[in-house]
Amino acid sequence: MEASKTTTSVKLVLLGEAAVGKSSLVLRFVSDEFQENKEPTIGAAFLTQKCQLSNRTVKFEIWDTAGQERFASLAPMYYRNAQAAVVVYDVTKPPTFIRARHWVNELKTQGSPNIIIALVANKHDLTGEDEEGEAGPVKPDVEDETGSSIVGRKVAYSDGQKLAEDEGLLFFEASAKTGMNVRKIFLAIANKIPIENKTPNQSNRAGANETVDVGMNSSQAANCQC
Amino acid sequence: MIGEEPIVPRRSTGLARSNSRFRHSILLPVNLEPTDGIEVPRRRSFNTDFRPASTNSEFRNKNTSAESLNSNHSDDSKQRFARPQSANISSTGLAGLNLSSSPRKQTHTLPTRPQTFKNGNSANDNNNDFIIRRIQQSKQLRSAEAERETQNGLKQLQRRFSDKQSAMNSPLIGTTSSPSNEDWEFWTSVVTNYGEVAVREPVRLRKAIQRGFPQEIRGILWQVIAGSKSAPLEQLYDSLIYERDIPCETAINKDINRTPMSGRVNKDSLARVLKAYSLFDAEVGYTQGMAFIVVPLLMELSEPECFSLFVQLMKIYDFRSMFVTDMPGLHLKLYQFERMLEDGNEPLSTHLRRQGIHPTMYASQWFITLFSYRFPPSLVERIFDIVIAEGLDALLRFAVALMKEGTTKILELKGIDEILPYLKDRIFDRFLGNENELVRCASETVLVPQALAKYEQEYSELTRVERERSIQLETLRNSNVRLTTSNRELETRLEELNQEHVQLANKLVKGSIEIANLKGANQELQEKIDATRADHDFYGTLDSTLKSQENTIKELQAKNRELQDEVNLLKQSEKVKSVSKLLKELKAMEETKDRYEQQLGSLQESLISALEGR
Ligand SMILES: Nc1nc2c(ncn2[C@@H]2O[C@H](COP(=O)(O)OP(=O)(O)OP(=O)(O)O)[C@@H](O)[C@H]2O)c(=O)[nH]1
Ligand SMILES: [Mg+2]
Repeated sequence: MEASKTTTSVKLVLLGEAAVGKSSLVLRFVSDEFQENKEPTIGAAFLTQKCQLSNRTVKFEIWDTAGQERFASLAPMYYRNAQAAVVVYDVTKPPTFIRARHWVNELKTQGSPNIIIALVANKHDLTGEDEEGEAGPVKPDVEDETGSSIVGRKVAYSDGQKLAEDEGLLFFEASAKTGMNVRKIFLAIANKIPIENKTPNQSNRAGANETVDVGMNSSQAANCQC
Repeated sequence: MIGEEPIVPRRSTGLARSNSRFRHSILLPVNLEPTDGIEVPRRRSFNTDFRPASTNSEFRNKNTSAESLNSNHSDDSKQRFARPQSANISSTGLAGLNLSSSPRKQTHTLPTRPQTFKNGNSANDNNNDFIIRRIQQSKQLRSAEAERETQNGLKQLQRRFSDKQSAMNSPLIGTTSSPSNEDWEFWTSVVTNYGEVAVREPVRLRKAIQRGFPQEIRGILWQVIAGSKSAPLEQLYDSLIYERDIPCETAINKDINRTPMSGRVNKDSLARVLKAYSLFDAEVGYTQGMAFIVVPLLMELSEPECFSLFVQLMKIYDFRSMFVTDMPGLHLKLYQFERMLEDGNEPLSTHLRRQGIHPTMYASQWFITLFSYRFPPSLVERIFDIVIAEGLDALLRFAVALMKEGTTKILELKGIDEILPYLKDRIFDRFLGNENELVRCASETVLVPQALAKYEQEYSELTRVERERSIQLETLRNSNVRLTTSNRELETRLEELNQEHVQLANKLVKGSIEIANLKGANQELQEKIDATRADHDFYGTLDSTLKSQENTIKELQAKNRELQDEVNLLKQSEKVKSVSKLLKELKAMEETKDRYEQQLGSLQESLISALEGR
């Protein structure tokens, strides 16, 4: 890691209905892992990950919130000063898209005025489309391997895109399971973070943190630097 | 309903709601003053006939009819989802439990807590104080009917206890499982009359609870202490599990596999208990985190007993306040915890504040799941022992004790990314295999009811202020919207004025061009006059006339210049201050111009006549 690079710390919050895959996206981004049965987040989880840009390092301080509506009274404390937000829905579950719309509105009215918001349609792997076929049609239901849950695309690509255009959001379809687009989301946000946010002494002060992050950065810096 | 509620946590309404919600429950009525004006839905058989056999058969009967009803609708999923939960429950004959929420309830004030708790009791010991408070509080909250059921349940538990005891004493099964150092005589007296033991032998009881309940009878003791065993509730459970139309079913199913600790129990049992509860208490339904409380219970109890104890904990112990919308109970506990740290562990509290760490960030999951989200079962069951004996406030004991024991370590850590993982995942490490130590630390944590009440008061004051502020903010936001609109209107008007201004300026320019033309004509005339005068010096009288006319012209020229200056001034000013003024001036100018033209005319005439005369 280049010591000379400045580090910009970015507070980022993940919002979205329960079980849409917020924690899974973070886990993919931070440790490049996926857990088939990720436990529900109670309250909120906190993780950090760095992203190397050509001219600087962006350190994400990620607040991964609990998705169930009942926990909504805890959310403001996490999004209030956030510079970036990732609003997630499950591409196979239309109600989660409605909830995403709600979060976007709440962020627009209650969040920081210049907050950067990325809208993410997760679980793209369940659509059965290949990763390029983004604008594929809404498919009829098909059973997944367990036969228990119905999968297939239920929210059209254009719906997500339209919401993103109307509200000025970044938009990605992604999959925490395959890793598709996960890094791109955070990279796109990192690139939109204004440079004056930098906290040059951060790397010195953080000291011991480095041990947590360095390992990942060494293997992932290249990915991040695209 | 949810949409109408402000986001601000509201302790008082939450509590009022939780009570009013259950007040009409026949199985577990709460002894509260009836609130005027609210219709209490009366259930036929429940009120009058409370015998298990009849209720049971009624459940079964209703249940079959409910099933046929459901199967009629089963294709029509829309209707099924649209159907209010009340219809759902009443179809199983449980209308008495479906406590349709009244809009009035939100205006209820916090029911005053029974005074006996405030005044305390003879025992000075804090721990014991909480044990006795818990017993009294439960008695207060239970109706006579429910109390009778509790007594009946107790008898059953006593029988089971003595069976267990004799089985353990039997030389055949014998020594392997029975810990000889347990004071079985004492446990017998606890099971026989817990309330009395609590008063007569408070210290011994407290010590025994702190040592941890013997594993063989933990389930029995939990139920004895909570007074939770209730035949009607268990029968209710048996009927609820046949209910097919469960609004929270998807959410629950989704979470069962996602809850790692669900592996410790039968997953179907866990799902059934959660679904039954979600039907029993439709307002709470299912909240993520409940599974983490049910699993430890289910490890010790049968499904119906687990359901019954869970209902007691939710309702009588008020765990419920942590799970309803806005989670007022959780916010209160977090506040009390924060204040206890502030008052009792100032350096740590300051350190955490400086590092930007708020109790919500790590203690929410402690409280909502009773520490079972991350803590190992060996610690969790000990925490449950004490919470069941002392009530929800005991959570504060453990939270504060954990922080106290971790202080040295936490003070060494810096930044959220060092401190939070420690608080969430490692703070309990030192107690692994040393559970007694955690309980000891927790027991030594001083918990003063009066201090807790004071914090609660502070908290409700804070939330009141917060609520007012958010209302104020809302008003400001609205008036901002209004101002923005009127601002936009003003901008349009300004635009119009600017256009008028441009038009006027154009007119002025035109006017000044005309004046310039006139000046030119004037000049020409002057030259003509000069030439004429040179030729006709002798026309003295005419000359003087001409001179006076010349003066007039000069005056007019001066006036012209003034006007010109004014025009320039007007041109320089950015905006026309007053349109009418300008118009007036323009008019005046035009008049002057007319006058001037007249004079010029007469001048010309006289000149011509003079020339002719000559
Ligand atoms: N197929 C598939 N499954 C996923 C994907 N992302 C997450 N999941 C699964 O969806 C479930 C929920 O994922 P989580 O990451 O826990 O969801 P969450 O949004 O954090 O949920 P809460 O913490 O309850 O708010 C887990 O069982 C994951 O394994 C994905 O991209 N594809
Ligand atoms: Mg999560």
